Amino acid sequence: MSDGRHTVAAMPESPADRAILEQRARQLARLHEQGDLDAERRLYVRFRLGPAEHYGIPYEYCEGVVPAAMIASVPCTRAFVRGVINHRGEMLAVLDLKQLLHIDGDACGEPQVILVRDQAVTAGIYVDEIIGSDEYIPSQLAAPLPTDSTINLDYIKGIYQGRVAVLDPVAILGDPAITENHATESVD
Amino acid sequence: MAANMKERANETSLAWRMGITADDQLQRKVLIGFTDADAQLLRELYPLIAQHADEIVDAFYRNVEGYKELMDVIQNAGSNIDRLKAAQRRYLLELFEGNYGDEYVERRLKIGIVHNEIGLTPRWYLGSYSVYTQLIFPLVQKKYLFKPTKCMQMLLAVNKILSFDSQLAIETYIDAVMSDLKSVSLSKGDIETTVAGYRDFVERVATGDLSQRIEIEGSDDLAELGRQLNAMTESLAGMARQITDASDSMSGSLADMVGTVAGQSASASEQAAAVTETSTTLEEIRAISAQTQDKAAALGESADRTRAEGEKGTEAMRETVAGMEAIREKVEGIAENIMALSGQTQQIGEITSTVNNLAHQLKMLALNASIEAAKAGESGKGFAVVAAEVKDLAEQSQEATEQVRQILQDIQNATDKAVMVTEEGTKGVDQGMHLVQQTGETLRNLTDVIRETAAGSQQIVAAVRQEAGGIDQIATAMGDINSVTQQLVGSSEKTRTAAETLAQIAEQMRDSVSAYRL
Repeated sequence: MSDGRHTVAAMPESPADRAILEQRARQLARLHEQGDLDAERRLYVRFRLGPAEHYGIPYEYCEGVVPAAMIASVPCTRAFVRGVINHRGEMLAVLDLKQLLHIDGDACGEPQVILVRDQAVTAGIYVDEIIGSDEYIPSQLAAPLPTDSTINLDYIKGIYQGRVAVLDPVAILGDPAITENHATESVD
Repeated sequence: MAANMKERANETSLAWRMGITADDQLQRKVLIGFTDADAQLLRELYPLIAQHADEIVDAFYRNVEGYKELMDVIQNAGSNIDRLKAAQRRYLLELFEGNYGDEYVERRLKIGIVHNEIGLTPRWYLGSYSVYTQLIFPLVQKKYLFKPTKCMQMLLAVNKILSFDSQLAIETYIDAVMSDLKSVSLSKGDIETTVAGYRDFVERVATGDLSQRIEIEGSDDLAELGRQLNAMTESLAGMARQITDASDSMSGSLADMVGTVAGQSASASEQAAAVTETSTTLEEIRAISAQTQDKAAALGESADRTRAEGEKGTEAMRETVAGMEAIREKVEGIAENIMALSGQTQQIGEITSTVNNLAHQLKMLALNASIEAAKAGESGKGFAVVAAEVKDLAEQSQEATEQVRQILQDIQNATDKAVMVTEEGTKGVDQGMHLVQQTGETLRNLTDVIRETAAGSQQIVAAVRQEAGGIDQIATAMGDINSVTQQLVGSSEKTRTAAETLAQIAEQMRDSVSAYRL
């Protein structure tokens, strides 16, 4: 009772001070909310395709990053197959996402290959430049908007903060068009 | 016929002219008692005389030489003692040859005439016979000392022939006197008449009548006097005529002279005025000349200073050239250093690029590490933090290398600019050198010109000084001219007066001469 009284007595009397106190309380409440979001955060590798478009691949699908200089091109393959790469004794195909996503423009920077795994399938993704590692919140991903030039919307998990398109490696590696083509090409 | 020829021959002889005929000769011989016996005696004496002829002649002339008057006569006749001695010896021997005819007489007359013509008077001539007598007689007397009669006859014969000779000599003198007397051919009455005519004539001349002349007849002295009177009158008339003419022309000339003198006087006055004016002008010129001299001296000093400054300028230009050369070397050194710096900057850039590449690889490694850490789950979280810090370090390295690259780029740009500026500087220095050398050449030429100008100025100063001296001399001369002109003015006046006086005298003279009737 006395504590309550002291508490009430400690409350600022002026409406302005009360407003400030109220704002601080809200901020504290929001920090708590932010702490919940931090628990939701996921790491992803951010990279660039073409002159300006940023993409990301979540860490849970990534095996590593190797220089594109290690790619060996393979003749008589589809255009989206950049070549093959030897990773720790395993021959992996390297896909050119710019072909699959129909991205035009000159490549600049230092091209790298991101190694991606989904269960038993492992492949390399050719990127024009690695920006670095970053975090995204899956609940805040926005749905990708279809445009005239974009296809395969299934490859994209969502748009984070309107800037980065977070890819879905499961959809890419599980695309029957790719695997079938693989199969066809391997039969051939 | 032979007698006729002899007669005609005698007509040209002296004996015929003097009227000495053979009879006359004979009468003379009879008169003095000269016979053939005497001729024979004389012939007998010939050897004796011939033997002593030289000493007789020598003795004779020793006597003659004692008389200066005689020697003058001989000398005036154009002869000398030696020639006379030869003639005298011949004369002496002829006395004793025994032939005393016409030829002998002719030779003796000729001797007399010659002696008369040369002015040897009878006194000397006759005296010489006595000298002969005194020389010959002692010889004869000595030879015939013991034959007194014969001696006497001999002496008489010598005396007779000498007497004969002396007669002939006297005849020649008398003949000459007579012929002189004959030349006075007029009688006393004629002379009086002629002299009266001459007196009238002279009186007419005295009254001024010079138109008359004496009529002359004959060739005697009186006629000669008349001719000389005529000539005198002619001369007088000519002189009077000349005096008239001279006085006429003198009057004319004097009139001209008076005019001329008047003109001269006026000219002299004008000249005096002109000389005064010239003197004034000369004074002004002298003042101007003094100013010119001062200015020329100042000019000379300026030229000297200019020359000194020009030489200093040349020296400064030489030092400038040396300085420009040093600058060029230094600029070239700077360019080389900058080029070396540029090379080193490029090496740093390569190193930086390598570091950047390493940082990139490190960043990729850090990414891979973080992926691996994520796979490890909770146990990999610490590793993930390390990987993130490694990535941060790699990014810092990249940023640092980027900054270094930027700085190096700036350095490279600055170096390039510095190289370009240095090259331009080198070119500028070269141009500057060229210009400085041209300027030096120009300055050298200028110095030469200045030196010549300085020398010229000195010459001008000297010339102006000489000019001033010349002007002083001219001024002095003008002063002299002025005084002379003043004298000339005075003299002209005097001359004019004198000319007028002369004109009056000429007038008087003409009046005097007009008294003569020509």
